[in-house]
Amino acid sequence: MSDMSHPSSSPRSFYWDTESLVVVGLFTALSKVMSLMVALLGGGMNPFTLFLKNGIATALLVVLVARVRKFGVLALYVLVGQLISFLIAGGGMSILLPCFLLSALVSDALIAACGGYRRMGAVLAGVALYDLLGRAISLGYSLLHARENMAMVVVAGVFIALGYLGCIVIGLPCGAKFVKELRHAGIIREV
Amino acid sequence: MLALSAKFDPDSTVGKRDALDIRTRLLISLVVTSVTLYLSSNATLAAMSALTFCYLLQTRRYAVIVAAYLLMLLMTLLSLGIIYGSSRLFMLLLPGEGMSRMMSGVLDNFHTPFLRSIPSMNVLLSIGLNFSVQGFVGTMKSVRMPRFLFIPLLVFCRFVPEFVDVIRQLRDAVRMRGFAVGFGSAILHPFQTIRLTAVPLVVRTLRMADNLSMAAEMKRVGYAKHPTQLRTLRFRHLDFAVLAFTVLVSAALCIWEAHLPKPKRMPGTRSARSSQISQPSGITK
Amino acid sequence: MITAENLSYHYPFCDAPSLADVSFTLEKGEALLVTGASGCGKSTLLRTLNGLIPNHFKGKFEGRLKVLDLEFPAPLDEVSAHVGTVLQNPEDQIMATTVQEEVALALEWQCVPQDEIRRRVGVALNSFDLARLAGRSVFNISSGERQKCVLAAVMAAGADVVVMDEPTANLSPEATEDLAKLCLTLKIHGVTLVIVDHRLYWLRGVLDRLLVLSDGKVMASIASKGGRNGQDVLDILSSLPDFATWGMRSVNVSCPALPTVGKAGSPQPAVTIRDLYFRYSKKSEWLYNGFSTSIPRGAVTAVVGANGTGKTTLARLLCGLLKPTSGEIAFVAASQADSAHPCASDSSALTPHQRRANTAFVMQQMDIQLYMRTVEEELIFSAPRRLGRAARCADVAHWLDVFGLTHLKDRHPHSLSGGEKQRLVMACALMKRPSLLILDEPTSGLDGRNMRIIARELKAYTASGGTALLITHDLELLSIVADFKLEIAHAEHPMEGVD
Repeated sequence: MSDMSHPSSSPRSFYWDTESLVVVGLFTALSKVMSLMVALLGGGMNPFTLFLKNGIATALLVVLVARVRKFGVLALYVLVGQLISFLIAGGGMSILLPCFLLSALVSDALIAACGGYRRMGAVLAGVALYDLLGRAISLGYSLLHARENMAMVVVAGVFIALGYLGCIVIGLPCGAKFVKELRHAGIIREV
Repeated sequence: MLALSAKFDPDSTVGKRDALDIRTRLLISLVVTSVTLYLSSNATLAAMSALTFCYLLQTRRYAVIVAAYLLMLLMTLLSLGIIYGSSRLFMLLLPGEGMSRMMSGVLDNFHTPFLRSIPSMNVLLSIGLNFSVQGFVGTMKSVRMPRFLFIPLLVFCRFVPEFVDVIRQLRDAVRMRGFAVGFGSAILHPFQTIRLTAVPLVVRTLRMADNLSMAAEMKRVGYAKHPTQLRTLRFRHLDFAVLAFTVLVSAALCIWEAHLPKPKRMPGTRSARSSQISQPSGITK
Repeated sequence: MITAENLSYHYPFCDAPSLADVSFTLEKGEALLVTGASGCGKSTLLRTLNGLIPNHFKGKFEGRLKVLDLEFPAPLDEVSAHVGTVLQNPEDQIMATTVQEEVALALEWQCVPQDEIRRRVGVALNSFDLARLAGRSVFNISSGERQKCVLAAVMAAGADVVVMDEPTANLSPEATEDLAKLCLTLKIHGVTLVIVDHRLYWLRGVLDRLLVLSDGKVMASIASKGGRNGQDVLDILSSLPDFATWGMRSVNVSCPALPTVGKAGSPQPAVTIRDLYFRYSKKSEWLYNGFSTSIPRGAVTAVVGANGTGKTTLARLLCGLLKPTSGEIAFVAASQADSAHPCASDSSALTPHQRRANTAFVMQQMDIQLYMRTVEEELIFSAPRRLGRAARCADVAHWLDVFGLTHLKDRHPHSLSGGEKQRLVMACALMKRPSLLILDEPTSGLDGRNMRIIARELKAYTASGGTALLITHDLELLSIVADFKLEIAHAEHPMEGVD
């Protein structure tokens, strides 16, 4: 078998290196699996579960952004996540993909404007904005889905707000702490 | 030991194949969920639910279908209970005429949003019951998905089952240290629960990423513009026919919806409240 | 085939070079073993050979390296066309979901025509005896089969040189023997092999050359050609005066003949299992079908059996992580009142919760067993809650000292090397003062020095009255520490170790 020919191609360079793409794929998988596990443990509509689930997802997102450190990482995460949602949630929210993508790009721009991906403050601001915009879009979707009953939309809005509170209260501090720890352990490089 | 030649048919090694291409199922899902968002009358939503239910029955997994419907019923009742309970709580916490007027109609027309969920569930289940990761990965290659999407999606498909296993092992390891990761511990010690679960998982994920990215680099995954394929996916006549039928039926339902008389809105529902909101504040007082 | 002259490499952010002036040559069809203690630069050398350095890992690369006609540094796609790599954990390397797709993956991205892909995949699957598993999910095959799958993929891609990083770390003795035979076959077909491994014995008769590295430098370079009286390179290595100081494993290891548990003359049992029935679900097969045995006190019992027979499941049942479908697991109280490992209950069936409290389980995957910010905090976290602060601190200082971790006590647990992490995980288990200590592959990927530390502490634990159950494929560890064996066969066949 060793005499087989090898078609050689010229080396190509890409904006997204393979490592970053693999990290995005793995964190998307981890985030989905953990959200599912938390929801199974405490029930999907349980306010505390919602709080915790969103907190964990945000903490993971902070680690992802701090690890990949490239403009557009939030947009790529959204794109991959929405394609997965399209597969596992039957499409519903995927029609809002352009809105999600725009919100992620705006958040990426905020991180870049606040000093870049190496500054933890900028990363936290970007992730907080992304979560806020993402939830606003989710509320818009609820409005479309349950437009016949506005009271139901208001209740959904409260639950969405609770999820956002989880991002702010648990997700961002934990994410920042994890990044600091991973840098200390040499798993994420500082420079 | 090393063989010099061998006949190999990759299609013969896979089990029973789905009658429809996965791309067809995904397109049906997109069309149905989009159209369902537009539909709002009971008649059109019921028709869409019935049609998608027939599509779901084609999978012949009756036990799973019954279980899914029972689960949905349970979730619906649970959601209603939570929504009703929350509305009472809001009225208690934020007393006022506006809140009480809004929340008084909380259960009006509740069936429409839930009726809207049925077609989505039907198409989702039919994807789930016929889903093969191999088919999905093949689709990604055949539609020439860009590298920046292909690699993360490939990694996602490959590692979701791996993570489920890692989480099980982690749960065992934490229990052996005398801690139980569960709902109770999450309420009593949320930060400790997150530390015990997220830190090892994040470290494991980042280490996996190191190895996997090296493997992907060495295999040059994502580097060719038009990779060849071990197995070729083909769109068959049935796929075209089913897609055409879906589009036609969806269009017909949309037209039906547009020509239906608008139902009278109950107090507290969107139209009633928006008219109240648009009135000058002096009148409402 | 491979020529390396004064090869040096410096990782970014590191003070010392990881490779310094390494030189060697290797002819077509030869096999080279690169070995040495942990952190000696073996994996770095492997990464230079497969092109990951400097394409994937940046840093300072010096010296001359030539593989076939390819001068390094070269683009990774050109290197990958000739050099195939098998990493330590095949599961972290496999990207596809079925065996056939994994074997075809690299070919697809090299744009090889479909007919040619099918031919090569067919050849590779047949050659590695994987044809029957072609459509099987990679999640449903054994570690050895995954290893073969990765090798088949490398060979289908047409590699002339295969580099393997710790290929036997997760393999059973039988699978290791198969791998040795496979290496010989590859050599016959002109494939050049570079193997990085701590375990040496399995390469007897396979190797042509051997490099011992320490701190990135070549400490010994041995070739079989011109060797003394046609001696195997491993024998030449073991006869070197410095061999004992390099912290390596033995060159001669054989499967120890151990007495079976439950036979006459065994010590008093610490754990008894009666009529154990277990299966994961009503639809799955019985893993344990009326299984009875006893585990002797103050001894190390090795659990042996083929993959998939339920060795780890038995460990999870004993620890209380799983509930038996029926049957009884009882911990027998120690007869000596002053035993260092008192059992909470007398000889009675314990609940899973009680079993968890009395047992420590060192799992195979180290990353998921470390949670805290420092090594010291990790040990404090492992101490039983019933102990006072002073007792906990005394225990921490003791185990830090015993496992040689005192100078690392403020380090983050995840920043430690593999051997240090394994020692820490074992120290955490002993902090719990368990009646029963279960270890699942505790020395996988460890060098001789770390393996011997683990073995020494395991012996010390049983000498103080503790009971240990050891699940391992490491024959060297077995021959040093195991006192008894408990053979596990498939539930459909008669069980061994019946009392």
